[in-house]
Amino acid sequence: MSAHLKPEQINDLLLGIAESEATAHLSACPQCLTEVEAMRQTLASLRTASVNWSDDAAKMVLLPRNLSSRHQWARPAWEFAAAAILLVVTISFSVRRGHNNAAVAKSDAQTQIARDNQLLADIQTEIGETTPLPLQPLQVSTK
Amino acid sequence: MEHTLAMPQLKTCADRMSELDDIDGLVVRYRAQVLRLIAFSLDDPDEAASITQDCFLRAYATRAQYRGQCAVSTWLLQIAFNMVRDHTRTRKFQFWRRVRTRALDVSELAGELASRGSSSESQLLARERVRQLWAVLAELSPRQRSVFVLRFIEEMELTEIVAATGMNLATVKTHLYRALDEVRSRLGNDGKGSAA
Repeated sequence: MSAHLKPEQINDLLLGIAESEATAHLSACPQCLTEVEAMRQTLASLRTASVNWSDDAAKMVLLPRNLSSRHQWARPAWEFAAAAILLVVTISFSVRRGHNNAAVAKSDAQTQIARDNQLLADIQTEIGETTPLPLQPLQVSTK
Repeated sequence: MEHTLAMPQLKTCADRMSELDDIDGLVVRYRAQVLRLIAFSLDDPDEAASITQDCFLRAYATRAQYRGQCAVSTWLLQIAFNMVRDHTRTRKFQFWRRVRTRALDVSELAGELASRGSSSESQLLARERVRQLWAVLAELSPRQRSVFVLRFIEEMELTEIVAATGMNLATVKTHLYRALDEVRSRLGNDGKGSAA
């Protein structure tokens, strides 16, 4: 029998990319077969242990529905767009309403000023009379 | 029981793409797989859980970029690999790497074999081999560990690893050869030797 497998050939066998020559040697050489099988078994044990470990450890990874605050960032863009549109509409409506209120308030003030001016004018007229009406001489009718 | 090993064989690209719309289902199906890659690459289970969550959120946020060109699991592992790479470049990681006390508990990991062995002697032997193997892997770079995990724990083909990592095939092989050389030399030529 030829020499045993080289380290790189054993690596290729473990990686599953060995050439047929190395595979053929393995079937004819118990020593190389033992070495490769021992490594395969060790790697398989690591895999089994890792999978078993991760089945439990993965429970630390929360589902997105439990990540209430962080999940907000994962929402679709259309939700943010809808919220933005709603905000803009609300703000524009409020501003417009504010303008209307201001116009009504302005109209009320002008009416009030006009009334006040009229009242002041009436008072001024009464004050302007030299003799109060009750004290004025009686007018004798000649008819 | 969560799905952790078998890859779902979806028939069409449309099926694969629509799978990404259900983020809760996505997390349930793949979180163990993604966690394994991140936890073993970083050798830090606590940080790994947080990064795994971020990985799924990123996958969901960028799902429009997925074209069904590869399995969903490969796409997720690609994101996870990139996040590990980004994380290991941060100063925070470099700092905590030096002072941390909480690495992956190898005894806990090896103990996962306890209830599944055929005899107590073989269980002990298998656990000891896992412990030795992990001791060697812990000394590799995060990138080498990532590639090792993808090949020997996730059992991905080399072409899938190329797709997930963005490395070329020669680089992937080089990482794997170096890792295997180290493992075999430390565990002994027959795979039963004693490691430090």
